[in-house]
Amino acid sequence: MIGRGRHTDESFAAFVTARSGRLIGYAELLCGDRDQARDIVQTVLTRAYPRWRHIEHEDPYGYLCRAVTNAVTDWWRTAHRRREQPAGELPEQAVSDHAATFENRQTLLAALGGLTARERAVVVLRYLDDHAEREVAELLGISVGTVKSTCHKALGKMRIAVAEPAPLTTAKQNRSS
Amino acid sequence: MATTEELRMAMNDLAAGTESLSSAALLRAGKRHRTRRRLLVAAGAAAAVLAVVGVASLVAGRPGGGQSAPVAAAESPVAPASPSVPGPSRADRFAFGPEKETEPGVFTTVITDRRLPDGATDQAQLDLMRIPGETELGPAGADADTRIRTLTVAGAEVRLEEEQADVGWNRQLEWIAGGTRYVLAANAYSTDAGTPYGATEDDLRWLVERTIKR
Repeated sequence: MIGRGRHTDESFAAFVTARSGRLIGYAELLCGDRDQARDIVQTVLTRAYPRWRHIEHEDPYGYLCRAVTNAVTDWWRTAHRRREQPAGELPEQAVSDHAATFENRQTLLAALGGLTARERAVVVLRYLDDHAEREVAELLGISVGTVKSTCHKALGKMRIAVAEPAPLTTAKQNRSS
Repeated sequence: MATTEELRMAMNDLAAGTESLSSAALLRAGKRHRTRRRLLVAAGAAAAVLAVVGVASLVAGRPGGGQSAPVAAAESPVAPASPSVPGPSRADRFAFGPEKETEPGVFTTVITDRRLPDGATDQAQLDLMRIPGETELGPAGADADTRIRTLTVAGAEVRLEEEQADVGWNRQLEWIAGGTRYVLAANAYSTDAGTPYGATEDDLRWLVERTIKR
């Protein structure tokens, strides 16, 4: 029992060292605030620790990504309830003036700041960890169609051209369908 | 115009340049969290045992009560429906503040729980939100830790979402009545000694019923 507890602690500590930075980056992209992102990830990891023995054998990073997504959603809801507008702290003109390029962290966050919470979650999940549309749909509990339309709308708002050329055969199939 | 590839790179650059948390500090915090949860479970079990023993003692104190204590305990009107509702009646206990428009179209009433147990520093407060013109419930919480149930209170279907807090439960009830969406939110409170207090599920049902019938 003691041996197993030590193994759990070591595994948890190793995960925190290796992946917590990535989770914070993910949370920051979702919520737009690094301090808030650190707090959220810290809370999520603290709550995950008692169940780490079960979590570690599955897909801990995926599990915690889901937990962070939900925690950020809750934070948005609470902030909305308190009439806080997190995106409002970012310079408004940045979305239209600087979204053409992401020269630094601030311009990227400003561009994301012009999106709704759901649009933001879809874009971050699609392009940070390259989740497939189906995976994003499962993570957010929405349909694949909604993921597609939300992502399209969000990229439009950010003035981003879809740069992934579809293979010729797929394009033909799409045209004929 | 930027491309998705540039967006992908920018996001990955941001995530890559983020410092990790201290594993030692998180381990300590995780262990504290686990200990609090265990204490809470133990305290709950102890309170249940004490309640049973207390009722049995009351029954045993009656003439001839000791001989059929278990049956008497089961039938006894002394057994409280909720062990945490002694003292003033709920009507005296929950004070409704004035309703304010907290954001366009959202009217919020702060409800103060006047009961303050020993060791508690803050009065528990609940938010009752009224959103006229909305006839559908908001999106339900998708957290794996969130429990969702449907209750029927005064003929209305009420969605109850519960989330385990460090000590106690955060609860949110949501229902539609008369073309209006209502949300009643109650966060967990605990004393310095870690004893949870504030509105129980029964209290919240009563508050919903009172709101519907008002």
